Amino acid sequence: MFSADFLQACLDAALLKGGDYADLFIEQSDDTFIAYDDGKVKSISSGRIAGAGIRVITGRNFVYLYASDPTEERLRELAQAVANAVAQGKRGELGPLPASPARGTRHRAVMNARSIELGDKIDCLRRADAAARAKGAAISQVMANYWEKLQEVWIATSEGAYVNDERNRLRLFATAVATRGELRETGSADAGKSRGFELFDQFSPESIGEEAARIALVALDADYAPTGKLPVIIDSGFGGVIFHEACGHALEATSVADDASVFSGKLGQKIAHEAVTAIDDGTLENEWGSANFDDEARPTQRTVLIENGILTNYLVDRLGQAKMGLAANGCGRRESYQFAPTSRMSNTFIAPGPHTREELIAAIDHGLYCAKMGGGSVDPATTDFNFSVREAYLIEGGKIGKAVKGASLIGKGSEILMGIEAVADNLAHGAGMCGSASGSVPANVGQPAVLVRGLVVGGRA
Amino acid sequence: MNKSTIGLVSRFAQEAPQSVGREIYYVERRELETSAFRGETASFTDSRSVAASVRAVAQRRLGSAFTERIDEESLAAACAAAERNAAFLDEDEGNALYEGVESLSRGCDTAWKNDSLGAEDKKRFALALEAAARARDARIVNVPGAAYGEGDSTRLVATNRGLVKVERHSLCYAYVYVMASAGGETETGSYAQAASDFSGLDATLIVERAVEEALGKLGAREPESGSYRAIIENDAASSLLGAFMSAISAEAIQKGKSRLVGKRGTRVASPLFSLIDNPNGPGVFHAAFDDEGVPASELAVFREGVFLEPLYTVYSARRENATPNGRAFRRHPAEPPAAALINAYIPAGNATPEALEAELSDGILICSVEGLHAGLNPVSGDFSCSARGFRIRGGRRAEALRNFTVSGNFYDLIAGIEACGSDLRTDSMSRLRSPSLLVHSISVSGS
Repeated sequence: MFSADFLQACLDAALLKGGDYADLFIEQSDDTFIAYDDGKVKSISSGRIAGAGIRVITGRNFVYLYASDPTEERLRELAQAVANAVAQGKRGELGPLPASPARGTRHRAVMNARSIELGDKIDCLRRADAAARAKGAAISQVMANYWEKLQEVWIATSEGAYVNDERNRLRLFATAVATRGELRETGSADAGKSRGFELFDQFSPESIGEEAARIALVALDADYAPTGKLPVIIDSGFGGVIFHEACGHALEATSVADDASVFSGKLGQKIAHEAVTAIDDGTLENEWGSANFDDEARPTQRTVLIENGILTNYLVDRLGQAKMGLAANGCGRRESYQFAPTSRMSNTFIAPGPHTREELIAAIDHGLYCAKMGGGSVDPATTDFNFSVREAYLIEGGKIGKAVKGASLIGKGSEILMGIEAVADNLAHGAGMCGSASGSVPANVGQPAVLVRGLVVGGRA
Repeated sequence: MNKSTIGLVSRFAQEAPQSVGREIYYVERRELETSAFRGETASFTDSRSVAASVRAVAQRRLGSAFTERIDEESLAAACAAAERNAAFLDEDEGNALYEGVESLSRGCDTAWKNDSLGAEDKKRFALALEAAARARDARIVNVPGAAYGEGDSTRLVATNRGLVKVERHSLCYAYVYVMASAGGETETGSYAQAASDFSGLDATLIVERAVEEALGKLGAREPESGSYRAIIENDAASSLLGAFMSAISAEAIQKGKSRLVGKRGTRVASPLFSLIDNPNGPGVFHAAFDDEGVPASELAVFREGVFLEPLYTVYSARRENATPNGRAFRRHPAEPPAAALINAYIPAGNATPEALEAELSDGILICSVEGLHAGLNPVSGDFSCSARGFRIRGGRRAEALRNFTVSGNFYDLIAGIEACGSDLRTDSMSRLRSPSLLVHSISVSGS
């Protein structure tokens, strides 16, 4: 890798004509992706992603240039090109870099996936496939994917930070198709952590395959979900997508700083029901969205965003700091060197409350119980959000009734946060991929079961 | 792409022994985007990237490997890794490479019109978009997105059978995202346009459409739940139908992951519904060959409601002894080729938007749908997603609608098409373009 003196010279060159701040991001990632389909190993792809990007921030604005295959010559060219693209003006101070980078020590893999034989990785997929098919003759097809990403980054900033972080991520994802006549339904399940191959000690491939098949079989016997506004219980784990979409994105500096969020200017105000405390925590041991440092060389941290309904913090990256005058809080993230970093969630969750899940269900006469959630999206300016339900049941007379399928839930985040009336004690997290301006990044969503009123359930009329 | 890179990549592809099939897919990309906010250039990004993928086939096993370093050592390592990976695969009759031996070079030696423009011209375009959007109406309170961007890529596919094909493709785009406020209510609107070069972008149109959308949403109400006859506006129809295009992949059909199993040659949709993919027709995506090197020409997937031909890759064609039709696509060299449309459209009808609303008379106009990445089941065809639009009464737009979902089934939807509008776009970023569609029934969930 490059010497600190060389990186310092690149930062110096980037700021040659002006600019308040510069950073340099170098990435080398080894990816392995194995697809298992139709009872066979369908594809194996492995390779190295290698590139670098240099950014200069001037006032509220930035210039970002990147290139693959970083060599000394290419980095020098990038630094000069960035300097040429920056409007001439005042130049920020350049802090000295330490001779060697600070290294992260947490979220390490016990069994580094690099040291595991390819055959053992494939075996995990075969086991998931076999377990799914064993759930019943109606399981007609199984797809399972194994993805490992071993990312190493070096980040240096004109403020004198220089870090080296290694992120080991592993995920197994299974989808099962259940068929009866013309009817075809799917179910999916996954496990993903910042871990090595020991992930499968915690989550066996069989359990992932079985769960995917179970959900597909439930859908096969389900009627369509009802329509209209209903009280909804969203269970723990990936159910946290409700907070992620309804609120989390609108707390990112990317939209808040440009007055493009309904939560702009609302620090200290009540924006949620008092039952809601919400946290983003990039330090959680070995979780999917964790890292030692963010992609701007700051240590990740635990940030309480909402405390008992009061907005206490935003997610602020370095550009957001320049725009908003609030300190950056370790949330600058990006998919790869091909994106400039922006403020992003890492592991976001609603803190546990005093109730049991059963108490929440018993409080509803007619409603919907969402056992498993899918993905969603939001417009941060209005907080109009939507997300899909993967497994759901009607609640009748305080009890879980028949299964229903095909539901989506929509609403306005700013209203729904007030509608989270009760929070249970069964906090759990789920792994997902979050897409935004700086690409697709691994992010955990989490929550205990919550009771929400005011959501529109989109089923069939 | 310079001749030495073409020579290096081709040589590595060709030097494999004939007992092993080897293909190298190489792509060079240049991407630029500049955005404006409050009268300043808020961001400027410029990039150059390269990546190559090697695929090796031996005894019906296919392995692949990729690299973002393009030199002798890295390519040799990728070739070795692909062969190593292949050894772990199960035998599959579909595992094969394209056997063609053609040579082709298209677009590489001609200058792109945008090359003559400087970065400052592009920054000024984004600044002008933002200023025009702010000035358009006093209710426009913020313009968080105003950007110009362009992409210029060159692909090379070479095999040890003798194939060497190179093609350059360029496009540019611009978009505006605005916030409108009135009476304490805030709504957003956006519009994007793509073109083959800078001269094809119309800043006035982009601003008009984005502002019109945001203002039109103000004062919206929730519709009553029920089943409605509806118009799905052109961009919303493109998004909704496009989300189900995995169902027309030959591989999905072969593996029972599509309801089109056994439907080839039969009527599955309204006679008004055709779906044509023309890689040389109007639109911004053009290709002489797909990402496996197979020639790509016009393809009718559906014609007058009849399902004619699915999208083949070499893999799926081989599995049913068919001829591949050039629809293999890779988002990145790290990913295996998958079947996809290149530049498809649903043929327009004669009805203007106003005439279509008059024909609807009473129902719902769906202008946008959100959450399609999660709210649908491509295997069953079911969908449920949030939407925005207008109530149509007496053949005219009445109140704007908010906070509702539309749900149904893709196959019911295309069977229930009663009319196609005349408003097919050629300047959208979508690889499946649709005119507005009048459909028999869609389920709405609101208040």
